[in-house]
Amino acid sequence: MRDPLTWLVLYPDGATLAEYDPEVGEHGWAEVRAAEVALIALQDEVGRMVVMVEVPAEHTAVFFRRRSITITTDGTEVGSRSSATCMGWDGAFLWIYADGSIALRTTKD
Amino acid sequence: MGATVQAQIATGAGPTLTSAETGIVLNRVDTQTGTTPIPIPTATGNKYSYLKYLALVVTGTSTTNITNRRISWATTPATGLQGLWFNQATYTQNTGTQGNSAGNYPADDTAANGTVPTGIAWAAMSTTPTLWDNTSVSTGSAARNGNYVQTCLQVSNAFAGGAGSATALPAITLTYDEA
Repeated sequence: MRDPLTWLVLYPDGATLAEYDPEVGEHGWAEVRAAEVALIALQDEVGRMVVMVEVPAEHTAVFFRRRSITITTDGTEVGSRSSATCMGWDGAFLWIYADGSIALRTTKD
Repeated sequence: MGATVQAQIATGAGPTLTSAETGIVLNRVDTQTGTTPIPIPTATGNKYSYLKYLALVVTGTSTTNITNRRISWATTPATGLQGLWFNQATYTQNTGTQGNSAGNYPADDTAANGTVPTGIAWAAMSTTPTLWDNTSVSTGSAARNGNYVQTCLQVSNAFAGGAGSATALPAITLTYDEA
């Protein structure tokens, strides 16, 4: 299940790594050298940059998607799902919600 | 690309894991749903449901990892009803017996409404997502990802909703981080 927006990171030496690379395949965030990232961006399905965050030196880049699954307790109704994206660095977290709204927060919770 | 993850419930001896996203019932039967109710105490005290083991299960693999598994009520339940949860690494089928051994559901007690039983390290479920398992686990395997969250419903004498097998409860929300 490909998310509509995927991450791309830029290192100080100009090297990049993308979550989804049509020529190479997919990458997990665990492959990112998070302490060395200079910029993290979200790109849409055609590669347009939608959001970018600069990561100050001496800070560590952060990226995750917070998913929720709701389970109903009447035994009959189907639950629901939601997802929000968090990107930034330790101390500044930019949240992007499914409805397009954005919030800059100081915590991951 | 994210993994396909399903909330599932474990029942039976196996256990058998099936999707919980079509709904579950907190009751006194070792199945996903059913109508065996939890009695309402007639004097100060609490009675409990069987254990319901929930888990996040990867059904479509990816290159990501999952952490920060949390549980909450979607809304606050009625007075006299309290959700309980426990970070459970090992599944033990419901024994149908009350007590603190694995697979047992909590014994009736005479504690005040809202008192969390002390036999094992139960925690009260709230509307604030609360961590049950923060272990980072790869989604590279189509399997259960992280520990079970063992849940139970406490019914106190303060519950005024009346008898029946269709008492309305809030939904349960499982939240996790994927990257």
